[in-house]
Amino acid sequence: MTSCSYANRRAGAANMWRSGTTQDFEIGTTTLQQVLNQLGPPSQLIQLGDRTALYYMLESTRTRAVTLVVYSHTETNVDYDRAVFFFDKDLVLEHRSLSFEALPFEDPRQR
Amino acid sequence: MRRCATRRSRRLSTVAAVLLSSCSVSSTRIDGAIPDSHELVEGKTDYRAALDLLGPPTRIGAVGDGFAFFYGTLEIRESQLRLAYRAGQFAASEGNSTYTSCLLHFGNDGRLRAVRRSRGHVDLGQGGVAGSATEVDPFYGARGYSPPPPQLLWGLHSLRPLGLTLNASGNIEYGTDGLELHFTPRAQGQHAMELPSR
Repeated sequence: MTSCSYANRRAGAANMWRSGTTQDFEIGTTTLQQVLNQLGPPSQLIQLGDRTALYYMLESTRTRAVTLVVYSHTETNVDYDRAVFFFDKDLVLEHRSLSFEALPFEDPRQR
Repeated sequence: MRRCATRRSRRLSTVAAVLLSSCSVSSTRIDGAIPDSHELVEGKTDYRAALDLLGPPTRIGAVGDGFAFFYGTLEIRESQLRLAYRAGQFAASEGNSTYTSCLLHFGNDGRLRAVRRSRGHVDLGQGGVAGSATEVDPFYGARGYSPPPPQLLWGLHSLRPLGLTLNASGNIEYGTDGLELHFTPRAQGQHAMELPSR
């Protein structure tokens, strides 16, 4: 009657932005094409007037459950690793931002 | 000898009744805390400074001649108590959630036009049942209530043919089109940013 369980799940874009390659991206120089070449297709491509944004997101869901005879407790935490890149009308990098919460980098090419 | 056996069977039936009773508590947290946004100044702060301060938003959307960042976190708590004895049972459950949201609206020049913050408590409801062999459904994620956050479907609508997009069903509570304000309850009045079509 006593048990515990856990489950982890990842969904979304592989967080290539944690591989260190984003440090090579220079504001005012790097193009949208170069970012796409390095990071792959984004989770979302957003047109904002003259600007274009590439939005990358990786979702991690962790579930922990404990059952003690008649009491059970389940806790689910959903965390996100995000990166967003803004480009001007010439598709040159204007700004970038990475989330403060980072999930461990897993290279999909080595799976 | 016979009395002793009767007592033992009564004790066993009491223990069995207790074992059939249960109490469960579940909590779900979606996304981390939103950093303090009080340094943002309307009419002054640039979207780049906002990104440096808050990080990438939960959602980004074009709004009018500008654009908007939406930040949101959600915590859901649910508890259920069940007491059963022989064929009869009593079960009760309740759920509530706490949300925090922050909406930043920028003009096309990238300057902050407006910032709105909100934090609230939503009562998901209570339920109870007394009878036999019946369960109380969970509030969150239960069929007919609300589906889990469809983050992976973001932007999908814009890839569909226009006819399908315009005729797609909209969820007035959470939205399935436009900015898709999942964390925004009905009372927030921010649904003007999306136009659910039916």
